[in-house]
Parts: sequence; C-alpha cells; structure tokens
Amino acid sequence: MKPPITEHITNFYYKRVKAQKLTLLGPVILWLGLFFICPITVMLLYSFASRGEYGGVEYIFGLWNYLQSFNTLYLMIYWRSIWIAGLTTIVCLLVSYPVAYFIALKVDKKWKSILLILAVVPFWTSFLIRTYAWMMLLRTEGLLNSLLLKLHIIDTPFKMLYTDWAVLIGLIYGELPFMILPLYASLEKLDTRLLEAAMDLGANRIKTFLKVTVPLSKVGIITGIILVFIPSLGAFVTPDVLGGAKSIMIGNLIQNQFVQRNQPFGAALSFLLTALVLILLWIGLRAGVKVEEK
Amino acid sequence: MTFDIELSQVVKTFGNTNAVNNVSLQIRSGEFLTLLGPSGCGKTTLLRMIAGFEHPTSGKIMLGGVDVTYLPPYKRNVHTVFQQYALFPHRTVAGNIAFGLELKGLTKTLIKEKIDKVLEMVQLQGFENRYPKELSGGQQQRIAIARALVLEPRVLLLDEPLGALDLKLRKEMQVELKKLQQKLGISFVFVTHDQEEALVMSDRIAVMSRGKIEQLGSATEIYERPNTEFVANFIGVSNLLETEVLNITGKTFSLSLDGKELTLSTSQVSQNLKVGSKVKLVIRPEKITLSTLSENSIVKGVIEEKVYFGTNTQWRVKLSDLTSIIVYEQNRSASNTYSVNQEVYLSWDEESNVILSEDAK
Amino acid sequence: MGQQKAYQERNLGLKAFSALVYLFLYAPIVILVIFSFNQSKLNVVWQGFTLKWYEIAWRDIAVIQSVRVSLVVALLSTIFSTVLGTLGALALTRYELRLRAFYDTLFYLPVIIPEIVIGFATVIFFGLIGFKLGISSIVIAHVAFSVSYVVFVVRARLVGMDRSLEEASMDLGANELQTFFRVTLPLLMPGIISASLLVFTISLDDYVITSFVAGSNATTLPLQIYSMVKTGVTPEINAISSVLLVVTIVLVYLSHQLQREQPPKSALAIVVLVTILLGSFAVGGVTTNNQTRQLNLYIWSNYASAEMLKKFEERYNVKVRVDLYDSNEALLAKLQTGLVDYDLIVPSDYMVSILIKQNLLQPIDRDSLPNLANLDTRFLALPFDPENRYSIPYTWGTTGIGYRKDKINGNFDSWSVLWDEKYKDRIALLDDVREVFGAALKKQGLSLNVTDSNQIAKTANLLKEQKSLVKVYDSATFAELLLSGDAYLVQGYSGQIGKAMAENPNIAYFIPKEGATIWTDNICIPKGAPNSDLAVLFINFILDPQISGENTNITAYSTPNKAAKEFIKPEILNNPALFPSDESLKNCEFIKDVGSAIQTYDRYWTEIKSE
Repeated sequence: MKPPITEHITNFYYKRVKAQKLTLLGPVILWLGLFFICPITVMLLYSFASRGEYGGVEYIFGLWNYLQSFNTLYLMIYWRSIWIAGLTTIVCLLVSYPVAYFIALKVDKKWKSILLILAVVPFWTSFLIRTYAWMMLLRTEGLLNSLLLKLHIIDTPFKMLYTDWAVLIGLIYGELPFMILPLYASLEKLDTRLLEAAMDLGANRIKTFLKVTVPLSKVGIITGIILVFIPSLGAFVTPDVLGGAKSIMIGNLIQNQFVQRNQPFGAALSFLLTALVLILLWIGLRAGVKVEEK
Repeated sequence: MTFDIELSQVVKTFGNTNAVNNVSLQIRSGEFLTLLGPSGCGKTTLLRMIAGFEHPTSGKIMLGGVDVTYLPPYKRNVHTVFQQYALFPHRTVAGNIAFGLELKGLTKTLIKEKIDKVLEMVQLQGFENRYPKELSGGQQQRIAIARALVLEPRVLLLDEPLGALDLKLRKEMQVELKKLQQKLGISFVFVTHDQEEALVMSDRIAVMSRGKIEQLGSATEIYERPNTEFVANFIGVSNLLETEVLNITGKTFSLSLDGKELTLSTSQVSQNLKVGSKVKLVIRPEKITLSTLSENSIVKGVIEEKVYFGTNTQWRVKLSDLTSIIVYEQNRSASNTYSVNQEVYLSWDEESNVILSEDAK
Repeated sequence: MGQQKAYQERNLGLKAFSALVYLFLYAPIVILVIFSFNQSKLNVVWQGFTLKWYEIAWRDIAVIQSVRVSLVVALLSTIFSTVLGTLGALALTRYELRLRAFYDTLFYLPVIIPEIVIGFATVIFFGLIGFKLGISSIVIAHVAFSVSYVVFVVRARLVGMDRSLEEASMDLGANELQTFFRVTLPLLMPGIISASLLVFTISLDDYVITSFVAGSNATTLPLQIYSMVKTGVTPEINAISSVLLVVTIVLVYLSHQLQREQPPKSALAIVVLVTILLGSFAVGGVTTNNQTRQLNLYIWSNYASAEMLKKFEERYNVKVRVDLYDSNEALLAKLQTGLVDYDLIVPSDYMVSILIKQNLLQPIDRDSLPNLANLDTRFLALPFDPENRYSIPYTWGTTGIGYRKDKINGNFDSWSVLWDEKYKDRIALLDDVREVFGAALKKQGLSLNVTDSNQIAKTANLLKEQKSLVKVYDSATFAELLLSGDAYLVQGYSGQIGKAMAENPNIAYFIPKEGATIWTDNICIPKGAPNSDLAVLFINFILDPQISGENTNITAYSTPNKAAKEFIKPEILNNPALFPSDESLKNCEFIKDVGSAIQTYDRYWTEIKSE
C-alpha cells in the first residue's frame, strides 16, 4: 500500500504535467479550432447546401454538389491536375536533388548558407509579378525567343507561352525551393563516411547513390514531395496566366465557382480535393514505409 | 547509519515493460556506489529516477530522509554528469559552470571565485572563455563534473561518464574520479556496463539485470561470492560446472564432478541442499592450478587450446565428460608451459568453490 | 590521373547543373529589375533607361500605405505564429499525447485545404461571429494558416535536439520556465528564425486569403498589386518589387549573420535598427489622426486620382482612405459579411442589381446632388437601377475588339473576325464566361443575357470550334498582347485598349456592328456606412465638371459626365475607344445576372476550357 503522502504528490505531479501540456498546446489548438476548424465546418455545411437564384447559399441540404462533382467532365480535370502536379513534383525532385546534393556535400561551409538563401530570395517578390516576368520571357515575341533567334539556334519563334509547357515551367519555378530546402536539410545530416563505407564495400557510384544516399535522404524526399505536390494540385494563377486559361486545373474550377457565386459547389469541389490529397498522401506514405521495410 | 538515498519498492513501467522492477536500495553517506549491468537492465532508468527526470510508477524515493519521489529535478540536491556531458553549446566553459550558480542568485564575484576554485580542482584553469566544442572529450568531461560539483550536491550521479573516452584516458579518469570522491566525501552513484570500471572504483556494486538488483555488495563480495549465475558470468570469467548433490552428511556434502566425488563443507553454501538436486559449481579461472602431477588434484583433463597474453596464459582444458574449463596461469617463468593434447591435472582451494543451486538462477 | 580527372569532371558537372538551376531561378527576377528602369509604360519592349518609376512609386501614397499595411500584417502574423507554433511543437515533441494523430492532422489541414476555401470560410465565419474586418482579421487568418509551418520547422529542430541539455539545466536547478528561456530557446533559435522567415514570406505575399478577410484601412501590397494589374501592369510595380527585394536580401543576410554561434555585434545592431525602422515606418501608417473625420473609399485601382482626393480632403477638411478590390465578387463577399465600414463603393452594373436585391445598399439622397445634372442622361435610369435610387454612374466603357492595323488589313466590323482561320493563334479573348459567351451570342445576333439552355449549348459549340484559333483567354494583359504584337485581335475593355492606342498609334478599336457589352461602374453607398453624409458630399464633389474632367485626364477612363468634356484633354476625348460614337453603341447591352442559368454557362465554359 502506498503511503497517502505519495499519492498526494502523484496527483500533484500529474496535474502539473497536464497544466504544462495545456499551456503549450492550448493556445495553438484554440486558435486553429476557432479560426480554422470552425470556418471549415461552416464550409462543410455549405457544401451540402444549394446555390440561391442570385448566388449565395440556400439552406436546403443534400448530396447533389458531390454527385455533380463526379461528372466525367470534372473527373477529367481532376485527372489532368493530378498528372500536371505529379509531373511538376517529379521534375522538381530530379532537378533539386543534384542541387541540394551539391550544396549539402560539395560546397564550403560558408558558401552553403549563402547558396541556400539565394535559392529563396526570388520568392521574396510578389508571386504575380514573378509570373508576369515569365510571361515576358516566354512570349512568342519575348526575350527568350529573341535571344534564340539572334543566336541562330532557331529560325522561327517558338510558341512557348500559353501552352502546357509554360504552365509546367511556372509551377516548377514556383515550387523548386520547397523541394531544394527539405532535400538539403536531410542530405546535410548525411554522414559522408557512410558513402565511403559503401564504396569501400564494393558498391559502385550508382549503387551507393541508390542504396545509401537516397534511402538516407528519404525524409527530405517525402517532405519535398508533399510540399510541392499539394500546392501544384491546387494552383490556379499559373494555369491562368502562363497557360492562357486554355486548359484549366482543379484550382481554376474551384475559383470559378466562387467567382460565379456557386459557393456550395465550390465548397464540395474543395473538400473532394482535400480528400484526394489525403488519400494520395496516405498511399504515398504507405509506399514509402514499404520501401523502407525492404 | 545514515542514508543519502533510500529507494523502496521502486517500479517503473514503460508501456508493457518493467524497466525497473521492484528495486529497494539504500545508499550510504559518502559511499561510491556503482549500478552495473548490461544495457537495458534498468540502471540508467534507476539513476534518472533518482535525478528526477523520470518518476516511478510506484514505490518511493527518499533523499536525505525526505520523500522526493515526484519532485522535479531542480528541487533535489543531487546533480548529474551526463553520458555525452550535455554541456550547453551556446555557453562558454565559465557560462556552463555558472549556470546553476546564477540560478541560485549568487553575486558575480562569488560566482567567479567558485568557478576559479572548481576549475582548479579539475585542472582546467584558463579555459573559462572556451566553448564546449573547442574542448577535447576529456576536457568536456571535467567541465561536466565541475559544473555539477560547483553546486556542492549531496550526491553526484554519473551516467556512464567515461563511455566516450579512449581506453588510456578512461583508466586515468577512473582513478581521478575515485580520488575526487574520497577528497569531497560525498556520495557518488555511478552507472556503467563496464565491470572492470565498477570493480576498480566502487565501495559497493549493485549488479542489475532485467530491472532487478541481482546482487549488492563490495567488489570482493561480488567477485568472489557471486549469488547468481548472471553475476558470476557478468563479472569476470567463470567456469560453471553442472553437478548434482550426491549426499549430505552433517557438516559436509559431496558433488559429482567428472565422474569423481568432491566433498565440501556445508558452510560454503547459503541455500538448503537436497540430495539429488542439480547445482552449479562456479570456479574462477585464476584460482585453478595446472600440474602434470596427479597429487592433490581434483580433476584431470587434456589441454585443448592455449592463448598467450603476456602477463598470463589462458588454457582451455577438456574434461573427460567433454566440458571445458578455462584456466589462467601467471607467466612467472617462461618455461611454465604445456602442449596441446597434453594430459594435465587441475586443483584449487576448497574455499574457491561457489555453489549455486538451480533456484538461484 | 584518369580517376582524378573523372572525379573533377563529376563535380564540375554538378556545379554546372546547379549554376543552370540558379540561372533558372534568377532569370525572371533579373528581367523584373531591368524593366523597372524601362521608359515604356508597359513591360513589353525596352525603350531606354529611367528612374521615374521609382519616383512615381515613392510618391504613390496608396502604394506606400499598402507596403506599410503589409509590413504590419506580416510582422504581427510572424510574431503570433512563431510563438503559438513553437509552443505547440514543444508539446508535440515533449509529451505523450493521447490525441497525437488528431493534432497531426489538424496541423496538416491548413496546408492541404485550398486557400480560396480557407479565405471564403473565414470571412463567412467572421460574419457569423460579427468580427470587424480590418488588419486584425487578416492577422488572425494568416496566423491560422501559417502556424502549421512553424510547428513543422520547429518540431524538426526539436527532434534533432539533445534532450539531455534540458535535463542538465533542470538538474542544475533551473525550473521548467528557466530551462525554457535559458537553454531550450537559445538552442531552438535557428529553427525559430527560419520558421519566422518562412511565415513572414508567406504572409507578405499572400493574396487569396487576404483578399477575402481584408477590411477597411487594410489594403496589403499584394491586394494593391493585383488590383493594379487589372488596370494594366506598369513598371511602378517592378520598382516596388525591386526595392522590397533589396530590403529583404539585406534582412536575410543580417539574420543569417545572427544565426552564427557568436554573432557579430554590428549585425545585431543593424538588425535591431532595421526592425525599429521598418516597425516605425509600418506603424506610422496605421495611426490615424482622430481629429478629422474620415471617408472610407473601396474602389478599383486607378479610379480615383490622388489629386482629386487631395482636393476633396482640403476643401472639406476630411481624410480619405482608399482600399482596393479587384473583382466585383470580392466586393460582394465583403459586403455580405456586414463587417466593413466603407462609405463608398464602385460596383459594376450587374453587381449593383445583386447588391440591391441583397439589400446591401442604402438609397442616395438625390436632392443633395445638384451636380447630378452634369451627367449624360443616357447613363441614368439604367435597367439595373431604373430610378438611380442606389447608384450614380462613375465610369463606363464597352467590350469590343482591339487590333493591330499594321499587322492585319481589312474592314473589320463584326465579331466573326474572331472566328477567321487566317488569324489563328493571334486572337485573344477575355477570361470571363459572360464576356466570351457574350461575343458569341452577339455574333449570332442574340442577346447577351440568354437563359435558354439550347441557345447556350449552341453558342458553346461555336466557342469550342473557335478555341483552336485562340491564343489565350486573359482579362488582365490583353492590351500588352496587342502592344507586343503577340496577338493581332483581342477582345478587350475599351479603357485599357484606349491606353494602348495612346502608346502605339497602330492599335485600333471597334465595337462590332452586332453590338457588344456596355458597362458602367457606379458609385454607391453601402448600408450602414458610418459617414454617409460625407459620402454624399463626395459624390456631388466628383460630379463637378472640372473635378471629373481632371480625374479623367489622369485615369483615362470614360466618364458619363457630359459637362466635364470641356476639361478633358483632346487626345482622350477624341479616342474612339474611350468616347465612341452614339451610332456604335446602338446594339450594346448590359450584362445582367442570369440567375441559375449561370450554372449552365459555367458547365459549358468548363467544357470549353478542359478540351
């Protein structure tokens, strides 16, 4: 039997831990609960409501917004968006990996942080202005074409702007640092001795890279993929400005619903997008775990 | 007798496993007590509970007669030297040592005085303004000790503090730490998995396994009279011979050994023995003498293997029932040698025998 | 020897590749900065070096004010997010939590849910709880969606941190709080600094959420920029961006210096100084003079010239605050919450009818407007407000076709030119469902406001056929497309094309003979306007012929003020895009709200766009 004094102190101790948890977690949870979860819940209700005659919301509830979303027309757009976002993510990964590897493992210490900051600095200007700058570069009569013509690399100007390629370039440009930074963070921790050890054990360069470097930077790869894929999937300014609004993505679809004041349908499309992202994340993470188990 | 620390029936559960399982232990004032055991035996958890980083699931911890079971670390007059030293990287050596003094609200001059004194004690004068990463492992270690000692704790807790040092430095530090403890006269609770370290430094050793204390006693007691098979095996090298009690007659009993009968005094064993019960005979390799003569011998065997260590030689001898016995012989002269497959006779003093009955496992 | 060479080549390859990637990252930035020194008003062709855009930006009170607001918002959001997120990250890493999975999901959600949904949901929620929109509402929303980033970044740092350092601190006598401030916080600093930089960046550049939750006196720089883009991008924006770029580079460099183990004292001093300067610059803009009354204007960019506002301020001893919006829908969303205290708004025609139906406007006392007589009666009693009870026309225009005389020849007078195979890939349309359908409907001689689904379907087929000819659907840069020569034929608003014509005489504009959209932007007083008396005063003031004429000379938008014409510069007055003949307006029509038929339009519009 425990003496009563201990019991008293035990209670005191657990109360204190509880108080600490509450002080630390309380404010942020309260903030998110009040200013994020509450609004989103209202929105979730809206997604079951219907559009009023002159826009706005009528509180007649049903599933029609969701049923309407499963139209082939919208499914095609979903599929297209996943495809473009996926392609963006893959290209970002392939382009960022060597750069992150270079900064993390091949560069002097004092240059490291400078190069990293340089990778972020372009993103301190307005997103829209950056996108317009790309327009100027990619125009048929734009700077890139003029340069290529002057250098006699091409005879007739390329059509670059207002194509899917332009959208892709814009998305990759916008998301690149979100891939470089997490990759750098995990590669930087990499112990180069492990690489030497692997080579010492007879693995060649490619094998070392695939069997040692890549698995060890897995956290960075996964973080990068999440950080790039999600915003690309929901993008709507880039497809509008650089793609000439000719082939829309989910983001545009949702945006249009809000512009045309069909908020309930817009809300339903948004929650489907959220569900889609969650499912894809879940599949991705499970695949990641499986690879690890191997 | 006064106790600095009293643990009674302490249990610590993590999930479904009992890291510490019903441990009671009393630590005397001014003693050097070592918690010794393999990794995962619960020794570090026990130490962390004394320090206050963990709190027991049940049981009680008293420091100097006061119940501190659920008191946070900063309300206990014990200080810790951590395994990786845990020096604050953002503070200088002086800043590290001053940390606890500042919290006590001491004046700047007094703090300076104390820092100078403690740095002198650990022989690192002039290092005040260095940052921890500018120090060698041994120096970091001394600073960690200085940082804890400057607060004049009632008990100093040391969590495998020598683990990160190289062998030579380690041996030096063992002696130095012991000297320091004797000079200060405060209790040290020292955690290690290195049995040699424990034997060299400790007044008493608590050997732990699976969350329990297997045996508590002085170095000699632990080494010479292990209570359990685990202790016998973990501390030093032991030959464990499985035998059976053949008969008991008043003050003596006899065991079967390699087809022979070995008669021993019952004062040798603490447990009650029964005729026919399986027991183990523990005999340390260095207690055994080899000879080519059968006179006074206990068993006979054949040399199987020889390993030369310079100061001594390790022999492996195979008995007729195929059990192997390890024997250490000092190399007093270069001629003292046997060849493989040579027949030898083994003998040892009666008091070197340790008998472990089956239920002492 | 050979091995070493191979090694060097591999490293060289890595280096070259990285250099290329950096080139890719900086190409648009370099262009942006170069064109901030360009003579031309449009970001299209280089016409010579000038610093005038910096001067213009420096004098642009609205821009300076928006920079201030942005800085205040970003600073406050950063502080709140960093504190809340750091505490949360500590709880997540340091304690056993029963609802861990729930918290993890909670922190991921703001990253996953599209911003537009968060923005819309938040403004509805503010409406429900009656929270006034302003700087504080922006900060609240920014914190809600950026706090997750802090949690992620700080948590990563905490996971990698040696736990025994904190134990050592407690062991040495520091309690939880002392340990936090003396050990945990200093060790977490690099993580906290990168997290706060990230939040600052996100907050400073956020447009979508901000556009929903911003209230009066709270136009941030992105809102300002998006609003300015609607009326044409000028290098002024490049100049502002370049200045901000330089400032941020300096700040980032300094904060980088601070993250070192022993930061140089000078860097610390400069950071403190810069922060104080930025802070006082930012706060200086927020404190308003309480002595004088204030008129809050919510208007499109480049609609009310600073000169005109200044005159009003001086004449009536009041202060005018301007906030900008870039779509009628953003305006509607704001007004629906009932949480904004604007005194004057300038919705377009169809939005006026919606606002009236939703009971969001208050009647204007026409007796207090003697200057109303100056208006052209053609623009009074329009169908969306037949008695002008709620609205007074402020500007007007048409949606017609602009083209390059030097590139294509012909007597153009019909919408059908936009279906001509000859001009494949040289045609640009607006990115607006009603305008694009409007062009196709007018081409068939139908009304703009058709609600019959068969007619809409037929029109959609016309547009699908046309799509292969269309270079781009764009509502913002059609004038630039004409100027750069990327497009020869654009559907566009008369105002912007009028400006392009002033830049390049080879550009012409016509209203197709089948008719086109005519639109007016109208000045209205929202319900519950705190200073409706000042608002009426202002309306009468801007109806003054001279004031109106001078404003038109600066903004170059068509005014319905007949009496103002004598004050308008002849080059503007004679611009056929801005002041077309009565004859050409004969078949023009206003866009009306088509009710639920908009969903049919949208379905087909999505179909056209997804092909």
